[in-house]
Amino acid sequence: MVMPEEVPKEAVDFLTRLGGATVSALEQLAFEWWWTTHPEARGQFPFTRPEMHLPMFHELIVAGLQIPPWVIGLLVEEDARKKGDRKTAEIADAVEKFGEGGVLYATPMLLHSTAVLNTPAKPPGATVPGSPVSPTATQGIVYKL
Amino acid sequence: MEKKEQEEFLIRLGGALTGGIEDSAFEMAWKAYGLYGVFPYVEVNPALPPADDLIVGGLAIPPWVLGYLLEADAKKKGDTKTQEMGKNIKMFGEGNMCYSLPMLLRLTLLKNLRLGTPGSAVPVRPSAPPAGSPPQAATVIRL
Repeated sequence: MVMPEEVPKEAVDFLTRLGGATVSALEQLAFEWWWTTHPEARGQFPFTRPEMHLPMFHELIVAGLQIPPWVIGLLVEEDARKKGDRKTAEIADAVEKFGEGGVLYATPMLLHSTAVLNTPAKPPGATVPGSPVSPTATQGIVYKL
Repeated sequence: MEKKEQEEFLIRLGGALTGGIEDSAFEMAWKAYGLYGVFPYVEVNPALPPADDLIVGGLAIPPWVLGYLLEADAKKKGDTKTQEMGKNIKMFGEGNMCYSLPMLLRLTLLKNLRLGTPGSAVPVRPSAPPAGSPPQAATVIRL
């Protein structure tokens, strides 16, 4: 099998972005782990909503955490380029791409949470107007007394 | 940030948002129409996320592969316009991947670590009605 002498820059950039996105998802999971293992934290910050139609604070925090590496990477890269420091510019570019990956995960995650939260739930067994009535849908649970 | 970098970021964000919209559409339909336990809201394997999330993950692959192949083919032919288009499609798929892969990883870990989701906006078990929905009507049979 022939291996490439050097890993293409595009592949490294993609993996850096994917790394940022994965870290973002793991941050969300860490909050969910805390919520599950600490029942006393339920209904308290950050497991509350700023407004009833908006995502929970912990999701907003996850999204907010992605901005600093993105902005810091961007600013440091520009500064290092002006000074001609190639090594620092490269590190800052990687940090920027890492933050970019986080933003690429967090933005649709917030959109998804908001959309699903604001969709009214249909009760089990109820029928949607215009849809055919399934005989099993209306039966419900049978309790034998 | 250069203009080209801005454009590339927006294309990637477009891809990621498409993944988010696909995921939202599936779960909004699940919630609004009460499609509990109906395909694609079923578990292929108890250790894996529901089929609707796997479909969202799978939908990210075609633009990525298509863009890659189109770009490579156009590069050989020297067609810069098609090459640019292929690159853009590839970046769109890349953005979609950046949403779908961590989403699948998170849902898989949620299931296997038996964790819950605060607010229940994102269902972990789509065969069950979402939290807060009215209780199912019961039929009482007196024997």
